[in-house]
Amino acid sequence: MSDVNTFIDTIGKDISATVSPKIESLAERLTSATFTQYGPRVSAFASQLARDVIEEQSATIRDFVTTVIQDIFQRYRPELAGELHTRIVQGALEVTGRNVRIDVKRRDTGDAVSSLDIPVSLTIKMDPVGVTLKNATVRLDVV
Amino acid sequence: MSIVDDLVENLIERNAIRLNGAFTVTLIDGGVAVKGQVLSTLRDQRKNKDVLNVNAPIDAEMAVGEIVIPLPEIR
Repeated sequence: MSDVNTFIDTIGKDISATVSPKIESLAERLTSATFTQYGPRVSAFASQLARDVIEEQSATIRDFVTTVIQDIFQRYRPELAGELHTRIVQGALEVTGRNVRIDVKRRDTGDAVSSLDIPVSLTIKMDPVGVTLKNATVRLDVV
Repeated sequence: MSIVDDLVENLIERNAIRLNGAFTVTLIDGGVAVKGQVLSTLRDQRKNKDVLNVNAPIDAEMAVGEIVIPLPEIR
């Protein structure tokens, strides 16, 4: 006569041998069905949902962005300030900026809100220019 | 019209200047340099004859100061 532990162990082994394969088979069938049948439907649903959201909300977003841009430009005025200094150096043209900046000011009060300094330093190389005169004729007429 | 006027008119209108040559324009520190050679020929068009040849070498430098460009205002 077996004890309780042996009894339970024997039943457990039997269940493992007979029921577990069935559960595994069921899980495989469910997985397969999910991938083949439900997966595409979920994907199609998600795509349609995203399309509907975009279609229905695009006008709202467009109006919002337009209003925000209009508000910003009505409220602020950008100003470009500074000077470009150009000088000729050996074989090149040198352009440097002095106090070049973009000031953002309030349209109503003219107060500066923010200022962005823009460093400008350019060197434009220029090769020598050759000029050839070929029988250029100068005629003179008495007026 | 005076004789002098006629003389000047004939001298000027019958002659033409023909220019040949080559020169290069380069940027140098603080300006522009022009180097080359120009051959001028004064030709009597009535006689179809060259009267004068002038061979002029060119070696000139022109100083150009700093150019200040104020940035335009955005309104």
